[in-house]
Amino acid sequence: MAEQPSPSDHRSCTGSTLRQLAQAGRDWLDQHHTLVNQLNVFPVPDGDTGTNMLMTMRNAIQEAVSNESDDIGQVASDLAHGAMMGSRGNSGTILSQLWQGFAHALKDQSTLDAALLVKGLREAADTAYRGVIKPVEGTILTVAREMAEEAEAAHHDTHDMVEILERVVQRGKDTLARTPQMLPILQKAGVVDSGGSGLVYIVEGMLRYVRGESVLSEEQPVAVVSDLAAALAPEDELGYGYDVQFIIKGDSLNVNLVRSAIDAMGWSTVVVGDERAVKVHVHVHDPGIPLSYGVSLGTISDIVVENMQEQYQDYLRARTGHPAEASDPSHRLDLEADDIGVVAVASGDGLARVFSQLGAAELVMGGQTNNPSTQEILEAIQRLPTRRVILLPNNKNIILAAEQAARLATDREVIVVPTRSMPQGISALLPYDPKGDFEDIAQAMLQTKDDVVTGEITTATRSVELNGVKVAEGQIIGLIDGTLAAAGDNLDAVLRQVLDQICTADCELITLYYGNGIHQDDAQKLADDLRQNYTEQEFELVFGGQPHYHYILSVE
Amino acid sequence: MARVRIVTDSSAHFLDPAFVEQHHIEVVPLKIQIGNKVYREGIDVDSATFAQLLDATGALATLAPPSMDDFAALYSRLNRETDQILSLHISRQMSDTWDMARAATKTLLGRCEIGVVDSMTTSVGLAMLVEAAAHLAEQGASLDEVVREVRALVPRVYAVFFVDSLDYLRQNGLLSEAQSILGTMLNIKPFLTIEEGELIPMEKVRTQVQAVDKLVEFVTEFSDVEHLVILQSTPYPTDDSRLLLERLAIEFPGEVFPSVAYRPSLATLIGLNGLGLVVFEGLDDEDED
Repeated sequence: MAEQPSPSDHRSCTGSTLRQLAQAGRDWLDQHHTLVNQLNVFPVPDGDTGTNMLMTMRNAIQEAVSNESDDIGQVASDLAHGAMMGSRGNSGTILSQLWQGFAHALKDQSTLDAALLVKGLREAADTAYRGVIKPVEGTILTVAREMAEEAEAAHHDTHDMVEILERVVQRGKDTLARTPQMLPILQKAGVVDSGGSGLVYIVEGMLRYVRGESVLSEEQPVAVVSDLAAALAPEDELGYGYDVQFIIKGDSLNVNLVRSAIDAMGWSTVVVGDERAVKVHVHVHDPGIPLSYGVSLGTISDIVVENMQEQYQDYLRARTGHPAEASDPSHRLDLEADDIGVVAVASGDGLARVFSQLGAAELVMGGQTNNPSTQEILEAIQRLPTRRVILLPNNKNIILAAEQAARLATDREVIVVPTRSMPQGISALLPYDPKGDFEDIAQAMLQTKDDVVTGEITTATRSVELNGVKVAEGQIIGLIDGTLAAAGDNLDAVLRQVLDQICTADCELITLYYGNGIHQDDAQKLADDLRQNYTEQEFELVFGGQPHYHYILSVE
Repeated sequence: MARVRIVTDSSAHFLDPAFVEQHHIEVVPLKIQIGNKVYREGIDVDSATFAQLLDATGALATLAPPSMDDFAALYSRLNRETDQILSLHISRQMSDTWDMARAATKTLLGRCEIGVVDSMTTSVGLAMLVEAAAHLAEQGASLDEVVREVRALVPRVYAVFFVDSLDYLRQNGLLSEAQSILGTMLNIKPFLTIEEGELIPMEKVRTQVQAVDKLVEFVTEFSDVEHLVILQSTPYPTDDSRLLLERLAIEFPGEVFPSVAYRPSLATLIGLNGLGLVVFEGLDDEDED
């Protein structure tokens, strides 16, 4: 951050400054992304907005730093491309579209001035609006649009970009505060819009940077840092290295001194504590170095060393291709170029196997909490040998990224069947026929996806009252087609409440997919009990293996 | 010139069993292998005993054609009375019966004219074609004429089934990899149709009601249904077939459709718990003239 622009620079900005601004935006979002995650409307462990936007920003910057151009147009284009490929979740995808619009306005320009900034913000908002079929006000879109409007208004008064940015950030905050009035569900949940909040943090980070304020705070939550690291490609050619954590106990430890020493050894440093105990967290290639250093200061304890390279590779393995059992060759489709191929997003080994057996030739692992990026979806499309592809996102927060991936796969015809849950995706696959007529099959899949009602049983991530259901954090909650429907302390009871609401007279078949936290015997016992009560229905118990969701129910 | 004689195989399922005798149809039994035992359909095994045999052995059944000698002997016997034989059989895509029959004709080369015709279907559909051929033969049509007429009728026979497993088709080597899409984790009912003589899994449903809906939808797409026969797994109506009959009664008020328990040769392909129907498509009035 040595090249801090002086106030005289505020009328123009080069590519390298934009790169730093973007990094500052990312860092400021990094500081607040857990807060953004907590703005989830539903109290469910769902595709976290803050994390998704942060990962999108990180990918944008990774792309931009790989190119040394100082042309603003080139840097903006790199950021936009990186954001697009790395976009995860709906907010991440909209964020990537903001970058695309911004980059379009800056195309072929070498420097940025106030007029171009205003134009860029306007095109960013317009592009994002166009990317959504039914734009909803009270979301990130509204925040982006009102920020652009404020920039236009400010430009009448000043050509100083810092002054414009100040007004833009203030307007963003004001708009954000009004989102609950625009979108009743936010009001009910008692939160502001999470995507809009993420956007405000990003722009605010940029403003803080030009003002010379810090975008890094010291109390970084350790656990979150290591989680995120595992989900990102290494920036270092040596790979991820090790995540090292320990506590140094001594007499007169100097926290600041320890921090600067540790920081020189690696990256992602967090050092907190006092004279008698200092907690160290750092990522290094050689864990011996910080540990030896710690021993030289006192005694060390609570040592945790994790091989992040291994974690990363496990993660990659889990996300690409098929899980071991799903790739059973007798169930793999032998597709030809003229056939229709299916890419499905699946959460959990069991569900992956179900999708695979029903003909999804390529899977993208992810779902409820771990939304795949546009690039991961695009790569799955490109692994298929077929020219025509049907894409099943199987989660409402993945639909936009799927649509973006479909547009990017220019060498194929791709239709996104916007399935909002795993059961919808499974139902949609039933009429799939690789040899059928593309439009007909897509139409049939679109229709059959709605043959099922989806129930989901999970643990509330926060307290809230929604749809007349009062939930305390940690309670078991039940959702029906994404809407909160039941809450309680007993899993079986909540599941029964959900079933009672879904199961009407003509419901025939109930499929229970049990998650990776549920023991098979418990699931079996539950299913047996339910069979006693629901005598008119058939019950099917299937291992889903999905994280966080104890049970996913499919009722048809 | 002597009348054309008709030969078929035991997969042909006649609604009126007396038809065979009354019209001097010759039926060659197909072979059904269960474990290491081979049974002749209609002689050693029938619909009633097939399920018991399967239960007793726990094995899947496979369908085997009659031998070439079976055909040669029969043709030779018929040759004493006629020099024109129509041999009409189960689809070549489902069994090698046609090939065996075809090979057997070589033994009578020059002595007897034998037309071996692929019905491109089986079961009730095959029997419908045999009946039509028999009537033509009785009216004194030549072999060429009967063959031509029967071939013209083949595309009017449709058959579709819901099954609870594709294991039988797979066991009989009738599933290509691309077709073997099927969840074994989920209870899924594939919808099979006979196309170009081949049993092809088209789509899948998960419940009985959805299956029956699909079958009814299949029937209502015809503008003219001349015959419709329901194939069920037991001699008495099953839950599924009863529901299907109720639904058809709404779509076709006043019409009665026969339902029969399908035979072992079909059961080796679609399993014991299938439900299906055979449609003989009528000709629209405008086409009739």
